[in-house]
Amino acid sequence: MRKILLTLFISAAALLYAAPILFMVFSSFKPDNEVLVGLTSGRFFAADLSWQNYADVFNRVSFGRYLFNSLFITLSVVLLGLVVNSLAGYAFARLHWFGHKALFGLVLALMIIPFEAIAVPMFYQMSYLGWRDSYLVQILPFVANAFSIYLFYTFFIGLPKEFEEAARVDGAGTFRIFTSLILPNSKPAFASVTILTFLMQWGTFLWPLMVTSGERVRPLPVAVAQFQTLPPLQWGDIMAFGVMMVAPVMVIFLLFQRWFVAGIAATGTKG
Amino acid sequence: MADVAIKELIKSYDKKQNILDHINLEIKDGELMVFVGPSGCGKSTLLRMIAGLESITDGEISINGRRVNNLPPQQRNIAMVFQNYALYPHMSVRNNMAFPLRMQKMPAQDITKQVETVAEQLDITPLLDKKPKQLSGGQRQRVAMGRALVREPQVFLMDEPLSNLDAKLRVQIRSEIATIQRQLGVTTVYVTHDQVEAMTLGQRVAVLKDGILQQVAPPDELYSRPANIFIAQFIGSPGMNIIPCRVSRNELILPLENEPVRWPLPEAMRARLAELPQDEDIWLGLRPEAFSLSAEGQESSFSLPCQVVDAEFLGYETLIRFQLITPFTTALDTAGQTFFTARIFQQLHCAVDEKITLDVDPGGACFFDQSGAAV
Repeated sequence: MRKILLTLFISAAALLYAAPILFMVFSSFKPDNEVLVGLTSGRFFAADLSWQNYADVFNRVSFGRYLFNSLFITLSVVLLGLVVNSLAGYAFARLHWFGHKALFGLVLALMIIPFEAIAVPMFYQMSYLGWRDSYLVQILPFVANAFSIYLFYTFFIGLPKEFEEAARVDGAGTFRIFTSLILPNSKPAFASVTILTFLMQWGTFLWPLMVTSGERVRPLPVAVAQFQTLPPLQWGDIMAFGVMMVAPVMVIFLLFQRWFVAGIAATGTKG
Repeated sequence: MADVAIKELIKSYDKKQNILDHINLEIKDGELMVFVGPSGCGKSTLLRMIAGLESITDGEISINGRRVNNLPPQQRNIAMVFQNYALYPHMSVRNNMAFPLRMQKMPAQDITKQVETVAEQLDITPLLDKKPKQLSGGQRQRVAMGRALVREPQVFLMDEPLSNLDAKLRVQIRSEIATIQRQLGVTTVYVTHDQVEAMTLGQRVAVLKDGILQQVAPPDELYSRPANIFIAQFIGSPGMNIIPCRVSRNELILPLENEPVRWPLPEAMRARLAELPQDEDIWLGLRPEAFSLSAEGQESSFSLPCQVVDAEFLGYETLIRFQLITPFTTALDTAGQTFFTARIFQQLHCAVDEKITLDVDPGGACFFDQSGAAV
C-alpha cells in the first residue's frame, strides 16, 4: 500500500517537472493558433500535427549556423578542458613543488567567485585584445575550470599510489604514468567532467550575449532569446526552436546518465 | 647481480625526529636479506629508500658500487613487489609483465619471448590473457613477482608480499620465493613484520626497532645469540623468557622473596660471566624449550618451582604459561614479563594454578646487562 502511494506521488512529481517540456514538445507540432488555446482548455493534442514549425524555424533564421556554433564552442571547451583540467588536477594531486598547496587553495577559491562578478572586467580585457565576436573569446576563458580541476583532483588523490610507484620502478616517467596508467583508470572522472562541462557550456547565455554581435559566431541560447523577439511572434516556431536546442542535451544526458549521477555523487554538490 | 651498501643513512620528515637513524648495512651479492621489525620501525621506509621512492635525508646508498642517492627509481635497475601487488588493473597479465620491458624499449618479439619464459618459470602461462581482477590472491602475487623478474633486475625488493594471503598459501609461496631466489641468485631485500617469515626466508636478517638497526645476523645466530632483550623477545614464538638474576661466587641467583633460587654456574658459563660485576641485577634469558618437566624423584641442580597460569596443548608440544610462586626482590622490573612460557615436548595436562617444578637446561641461556644489551 505504501509502495503504491509512493509510486503515485513520485509519478505526480515527475509529471509536474516534465509538464513544461511535454508542453513544449507537443506545441512544437501544433499550428500557431492552437498553442495558447491548448494551455487554457487543457487540450494537449491538436488535430493537425505537422513539422511545419520546424521548417519555419529554418526558413526564418539560420538555425544550422547557430547549432554549429553551439556545438563547436561547447565541444571545444569540453575537449580542451579535459586535457587542461585533468593535467592540472593530476599535478595538484601528485606532484609536490614549492607552493603547490597555496596555489591549489587559490584555484579552489575561484569556485566561489560568480561569473557575473568578473564578466565586465573580462569584457574590457577581451575587447582590448580585439577578440570580440570570435569563437576564441567564447572558448578560451572557459577551458581551465576550477570545478573540473577539483573533480579530477579528488579522483586522482583516491587512486592507489602503489600503481604509480610500481610504474616508476618499472621505468615510466610522470607523463607516461599519466597517459598509460592514470587515463585508462579514470574513465568515471572524465565522463563526469564531460557531461557537467557540456551542460554548463551549452546553456551559457550572458557571456555570448556580451561578446557576440552577429549570427556568425552566436550560439543557440542567445539565438533563441533573439528569436522570441523576432516579429511576427509565433509560439509554435519558438517551441520548435526550443525542442531542437534541448535535444542534444537530452541525448548526451541519456548516454552518460550513469556517469552523471556518479559525478554528482562524487562531488557531493549539485553540479 | 649486485651488492647494496648503506652508509650512515638517515631519514627524517621534520628534521627533528629521525625515522631511520644512522643505518649501516651491507647486503651481499646474491643474498636474501630480510628486514624485520614491529610496525612503524622504519623497515618499509628503508626499502623504499633503496628503491628511490623516498628521498634520503643524509647518508648514502650505493648499488653495485654506484652511489644512487639522486638517481630516480627507473635508473637504479631494481624491481619491486608491493604489498597489494599494484598490478595495472586495465592491462592483461601479459601486458602487465611486458610494461617494464616496453619502458626499456625492448623489441616486441624479445618482449614476448621474455614474458613467456618467465611466465613458464612461475607457472602462470594460462593466466597471461586474463585481467588482474580475474585472478586469485595467490595468482596476483605470482604475476607481481613475474613483472618484477621479467626485467632481470640487479636488486629485487619485496615489501610484505605475502601479508594479503591466507596462512596456507603464505607458507607455500614463501618457499617458492626462496627457491626462485636461490635459482636466480638475485640480490633480494625482503620486508616483513612476521618473524617466522624472516627466520625461514632470510639468509641474513636485519632487525629494526624505532628506526635503529638492532642486529644483522643469520637466523640461527639471531635466535641463539640475540644482541639485546628486544630481539630476544621479538624473535621466536613465543619469545625468550627474560628473568631477573644475579651472579654471585659461581652461583646464579634468582632473587625471589622468600627463598632465592640458587643454581651452580656451569663451567662453560663462568668464563663468559667472569667480567660481570658480582651481586648486580642482570637479566637471564631462557628460550621456552630450555624448560622440561622434572622427573619424579630426580633432583636436578637447575630446578624452578612455579605455578601454572594456563596450558596450551598443540599436538606434539604443550605450551605452559607459568609464574613464579613468590615475587622477585630486585630493582629491575621483569622486562614487562610476569608470566613465562615453557615449551614441553610431550602431551601434558596441567590444571590451572597447579604447582609444578620445571628443570632448566642452562646451555642456551643468554645474559643481558641492565641496559638490555647482551653480555
